[in-house]
Amino acid sequence: MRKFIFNIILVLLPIWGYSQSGMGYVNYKSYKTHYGNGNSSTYNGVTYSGISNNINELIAVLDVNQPGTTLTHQGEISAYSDGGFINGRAPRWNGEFYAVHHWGWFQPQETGRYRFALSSDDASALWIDDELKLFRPCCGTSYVDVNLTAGKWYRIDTKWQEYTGGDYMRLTYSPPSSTSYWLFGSNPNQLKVTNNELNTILPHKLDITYNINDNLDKTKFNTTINFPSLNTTTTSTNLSSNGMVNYDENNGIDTTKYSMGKKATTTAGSVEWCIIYDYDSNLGGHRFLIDDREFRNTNVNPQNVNKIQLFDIYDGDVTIYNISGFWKQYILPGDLTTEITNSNYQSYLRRQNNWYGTRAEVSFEDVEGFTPHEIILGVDETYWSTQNIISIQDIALSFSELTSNNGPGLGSGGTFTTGIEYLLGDVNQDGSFDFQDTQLMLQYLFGDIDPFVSQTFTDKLRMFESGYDSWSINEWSTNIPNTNKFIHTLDESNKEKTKSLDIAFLGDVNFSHSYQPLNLTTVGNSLSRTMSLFRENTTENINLSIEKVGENVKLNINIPINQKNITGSQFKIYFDNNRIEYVNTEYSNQSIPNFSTNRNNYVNVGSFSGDGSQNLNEGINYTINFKLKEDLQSILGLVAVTFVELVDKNGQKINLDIK
Amino acid sequence: MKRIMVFLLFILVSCQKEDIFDVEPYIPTYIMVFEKNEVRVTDNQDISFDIISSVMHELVISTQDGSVITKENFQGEIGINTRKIFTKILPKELLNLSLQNSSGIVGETTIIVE
Repeated sequence: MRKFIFNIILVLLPIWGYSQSGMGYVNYKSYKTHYGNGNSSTYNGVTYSGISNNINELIAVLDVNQPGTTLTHQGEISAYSDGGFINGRAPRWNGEFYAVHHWGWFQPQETGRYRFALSSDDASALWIDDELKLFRPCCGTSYVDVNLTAGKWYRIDTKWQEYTGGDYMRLTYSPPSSTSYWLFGSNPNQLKVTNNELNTILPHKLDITYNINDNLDKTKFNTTINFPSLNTTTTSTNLSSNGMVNYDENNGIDTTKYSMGKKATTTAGSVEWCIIYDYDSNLGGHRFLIDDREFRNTNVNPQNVNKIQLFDIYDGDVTIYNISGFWKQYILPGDLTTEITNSNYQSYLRRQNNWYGTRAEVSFEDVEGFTPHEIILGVDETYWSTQNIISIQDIALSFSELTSNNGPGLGSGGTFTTGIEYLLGDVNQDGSFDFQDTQLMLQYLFGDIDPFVSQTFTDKLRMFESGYDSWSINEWSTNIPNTNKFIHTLDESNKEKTKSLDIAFLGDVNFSHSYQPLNLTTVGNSLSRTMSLFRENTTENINLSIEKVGENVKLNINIPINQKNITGSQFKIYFDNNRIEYVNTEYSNQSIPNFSTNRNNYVNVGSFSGDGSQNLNEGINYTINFKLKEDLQSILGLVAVTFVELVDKNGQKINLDIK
Repeated sequence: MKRIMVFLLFILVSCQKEDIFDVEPYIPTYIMVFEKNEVRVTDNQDISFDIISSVMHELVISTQDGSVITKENFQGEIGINTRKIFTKILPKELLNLSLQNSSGIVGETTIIVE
């Protein structure tokens, strides 16, 4: 029985040992050098002999192109072992005339200056992230300081040689928080080591920043990941207060590789099964034809071919041109004329008028890949419904732009300074910013019917993957994004991805809710100035009074006499439509066009002079009358002024206090 | 014998189960709104406060930056006054509620609309 258990342990030990590869291990290759007898070696003008005196000679010692060097052993070994970085003596052919290359990846757990110490007999060298840090001639210890970042993975390589006599290589380090030295790989709490390829260590990550105006509560926005090919969607994740959302493999990112179509691979043959047409600029590529007979008995549907490898001419994605006929036609993108001319397969290409008969056999293989991730931006609809995207300042700025008669659309006269303003001002999205747009904005604010009532959050959203700053004034109406999602594709060679998206909303030309571009110089945009007259004299604040008169509630807003040339005012007054109903609005000043719009549970009240010729310097009283639906003794909270905006003739917003 | 009877009576009385009264949790009649720094309010809730002079008073709700969004005037009565607050249209954020009269602010608190 004891023998049986011993045998079991013997069987399990190698399995256990194998399963330990990865963390704590490094890779190695060991070489017989100097022909195994101490002779020097020369290759391509580089000679090594005896103990290396410089880095180039040491590299040559481990170069299998050198006739005196032969690879004898390779594998993986514990970093903290005699064959690892304690003595460097990995499995080798003999005790002399050998060399070892160790390599792997390490992750420091502290950020700061690490001091590495490399000791050897004979010569040795150290590289971090493929950068030579140390060359140690025989014999002794050399030091180097390297600044490292906690959590980041770095590649490490050491090479050393043994000519004759003593033989060892030792790598130690001192972390930022200590002056003591540890053998490399001895303390994973300080520094993790692995022999796995870096891309198998790092998880896929995606950090997205939505550049949303700080006036908005970013936590009310959310994202979901949609997988169209799988017909699934993740649950939504709210953005953080800085507009970020972070995804990784445990949180939405799907790293499964799915069948993504077929790849057609060509090999030189004796029959012209294929045809390559000359470059067609209209197609942006070459038509490539495959004889239908090549598909027979393969169970491959020509519809599924999305990659083609054509000799040494092309290897990549293709699109279908026409697969309904005998010839299955695809488009190889780009101009491959040079590649065809320089191909080593000329004898398999027969030139005709504008095509090449191609003697090639075609085989097919599965294409596997990651499924596309559609990252979709959403919002809390209740929160969104209370936002005032289009306000009186947006209208004032838009009118100012149009009446200056100097640019795209009917106007463009010096008010707008960026292409994004025209884009957002074009609320009917007809490619022209004109009075139709301002009319719709006016109707939105003043009309009985909201022209945008059927528009969803997504309809109003404009999400830019490349930012606004380069959005041209002259070409603002082309390539306008109109989606709430962007496609993320996983990349094995670059797993940690970041994305930054600028968020804007149609009609928001003053950027009160949209991300403000860095190059904005428009005088009125998002700018506001304090109405010092009001601030300095408390008796001249905007005064609000609400009183119950019988069955009625009167809400009165008073703008006092001033000298601020106010050409537009807007007050958004919500009312509890279960308990109260809107009756009408009275204006004390009729010298400027006034408006009042009843929208179910709020009323927009204000004044606006489209050409700026009239203002509210005389002051005005707005009296909004409501009627109680039931007998109530208290009225606190039945009506509320939730949004206020005043603009002057320059389109500038004026701050005010309501008292 | 008499002493035995007295003793038994004493035992009997002393072993009698005590009356246990169910105590109702205390529910204040009034929510004295200005006695707390922060009050959660719901729609149609009564709010109460003490008034020491029978003059016109004003309940004012304003944002954290001081902008008034709604208010109500009423004739105060000396003693505890109770009014209603309606919250359906109020912003879901921290708001200030104050009681004012011609002398200035006589009560103030922060309300959280639920």
